[in-house]
Amino acid sequence: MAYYSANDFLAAEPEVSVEFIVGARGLASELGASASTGRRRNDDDSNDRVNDVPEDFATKIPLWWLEGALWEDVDLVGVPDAFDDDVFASLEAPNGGRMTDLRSRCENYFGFGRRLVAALRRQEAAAENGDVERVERLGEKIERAFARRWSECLCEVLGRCDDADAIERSLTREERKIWNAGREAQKAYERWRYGRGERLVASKIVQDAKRRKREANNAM
Amino acid sequence: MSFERTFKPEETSYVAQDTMVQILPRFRCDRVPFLADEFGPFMPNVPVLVPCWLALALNENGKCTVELGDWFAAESVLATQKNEKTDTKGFQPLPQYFIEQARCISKYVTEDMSMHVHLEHILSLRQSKIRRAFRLLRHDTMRETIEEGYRLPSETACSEFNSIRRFTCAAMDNFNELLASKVS
Repeated sequence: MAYYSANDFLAAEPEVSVEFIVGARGLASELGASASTGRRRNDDDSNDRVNDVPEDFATKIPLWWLEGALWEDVDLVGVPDAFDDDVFASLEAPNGGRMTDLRSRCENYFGFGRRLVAALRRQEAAAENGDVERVERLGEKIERAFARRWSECLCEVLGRCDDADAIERSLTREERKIWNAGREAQKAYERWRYGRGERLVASKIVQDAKRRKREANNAM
Repeated sequence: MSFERTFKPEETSYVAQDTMVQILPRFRCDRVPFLADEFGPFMPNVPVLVPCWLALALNENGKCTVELGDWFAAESVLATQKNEKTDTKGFQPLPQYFIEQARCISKYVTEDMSMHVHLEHILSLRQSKIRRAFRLLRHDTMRETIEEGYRLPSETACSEFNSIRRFTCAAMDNFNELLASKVS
């Protein structure tokens, strides 16, 4: 984890579903738990305060809350919708890497996925009958998703790309960094070589119209 | 490993001007000392090797004729273009700074642009080969690729490296983070 990386902070912001193994005190206002359902943490607690977040309370918390000691007191329940099997299936489909809009599912898809897998792995390793293999499978799916996006989307920046705007709109924050690096290098080269900022590429509508006109002329 | 800044094309063009080219002087002079080295002696119509920056300066003042390298001859460029098309994986041998030299030549030496169209075509063929090679990187071979380093053909030109350097470093950073989380 890069200490000063803003992207790293933002990657741990999305929320995950958890269930409290033990009650907690002082989090009710953050989580919306009712104080009346709280129980004493210990019977010999002489302070007479109750836990305002009861045991077995299910809620959603940002992932970075699990980076500290809280991970021992909560259980991650399931995975967020962005990492469902249907998302990975759509990525594996032909041209799926290009067509799937990961940005709308999670702005920091791969950073969040990496941190989520680490949290799940820690939880399953500590549990008695933990399913570490399931977590490793999720990690592999995320790696395959990135490799797919790399080959179908990101490599397009190295040449002439007709639908660059459409691709850019579907990129996550990490992918945009890679995309912009390639784009700026191309722009710098073309500015130096041709004296202009960006190669002019005809839009798809114009290209389709030209193709229709060409076909009509050939038919005649 | 990621680089926030890479060389600008103007900077590589500046470095490219240190490559040696052959000129035919139109003046007589003994060896002239410069900061880096001594060049000459210069005798009319006797070929001499000088760095590109000196050749362009002398050419601008009408003191010499710059001899274009063999790689810039029409037959050579057309043969290179044909071989680039047929060889789908490797690159044809060209000078490391051939793009920068071609631009210098077009700007200062000759106005004949016919070879530049073919050189542009060679450049786009090489770019598509790089793109195709990058697409072949797979997640299951990513660890070996990162550890051993992804190797481009040795004939890759300097400006081609420049255009992919930041892009590749940013991508490898992401791959590395994904793989590092797997180990931990």
